[in-house]
Amino acid sequence: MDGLVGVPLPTVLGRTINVGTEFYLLTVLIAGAVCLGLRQLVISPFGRTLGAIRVNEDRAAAIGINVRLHKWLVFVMSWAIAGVGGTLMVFMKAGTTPMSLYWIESGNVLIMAIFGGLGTLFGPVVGAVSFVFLRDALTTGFEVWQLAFGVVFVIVVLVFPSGLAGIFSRVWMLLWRARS
Amino acid sequence: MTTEALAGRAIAMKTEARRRQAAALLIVAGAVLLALLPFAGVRSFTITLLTEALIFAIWAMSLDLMTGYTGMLTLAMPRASASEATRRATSHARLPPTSLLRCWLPSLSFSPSRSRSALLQSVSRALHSRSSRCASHKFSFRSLSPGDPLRREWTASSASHCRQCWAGRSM
Repeated sequence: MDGLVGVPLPTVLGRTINVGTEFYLLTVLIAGAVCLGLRQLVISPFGRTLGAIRVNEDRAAAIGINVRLHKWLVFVMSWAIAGVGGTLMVFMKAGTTPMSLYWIESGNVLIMAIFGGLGTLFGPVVGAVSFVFLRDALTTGFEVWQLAFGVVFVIVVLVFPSGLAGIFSRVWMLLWRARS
Repeated sequence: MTTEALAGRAIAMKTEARRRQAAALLIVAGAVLLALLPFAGVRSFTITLLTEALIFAIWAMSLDLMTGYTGMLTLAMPRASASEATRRATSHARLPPTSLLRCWLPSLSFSPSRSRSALLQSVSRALHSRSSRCASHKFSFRSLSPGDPLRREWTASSASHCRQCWAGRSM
């Protein structure tokens, strides 16, 4: 596959990060920071406003929320975070190809988010980890792994409409109520 | 509002704050646990898969912010990550900035048959293009006139350093 290949290893504070354990630790650090940052964002008044826009855009505009500005801000923040992911991916694969623009990539990310549970911050993480490991397991057993994954995806969506994170969320709430 | 209602609301807010604090601690604990995995004898293949999964998780979280929290459905997310990845790749691999345009612009063309051949040609050109700057001195050879012997020598050679580097002279 064509593309930009042969990208050198990344350097952080003058230290070269080798692909393997060091790069993994860097990814964990960045993913954790993104997760904590997004969590603070969604529980802030700004995040509550986003919820209002999602539920009813017209009503949110009627109570004085600048819907266009909020959507624009979310768009910018979301794409900036996606850019962080893209940067990590180019270092991991030591290059990038035009295939990363293909719609299947978009579909995969959307499937991960739905699989884990949309509207929960924990969901996409669970969905992404499940997707990657399930894909790895299915490709060894099935030639058309997408078909097998599709069946699993439909079952999960039908049985757990709130995604895999919904199960964890319910257990967490039950534990919390039992404690308090 | 009565005193009992106020007290009840205060307790509810306190419980909610505690729950949020516990959730934040859970995220930190999860990150620490993930960071300890390579030192717990987990296979390097699994670590590679986890790295990929975490990068996908960053993308999925950014998509969730748009779709799950704001209700804006988009399938254009990889455009953002891919363009940033290409920008990073070109700057990090010292490729000329034009290689970014050469790589991605043809894919946005409206003619599929023409864009495919144009894309292949442009990617090939971008791969074989070389920076016009010296890797050590950041000296741009484009600033020299086309007839300059230094520029001709640079164009003919395949080195990434200028002649001054080899001669040990400062630019």
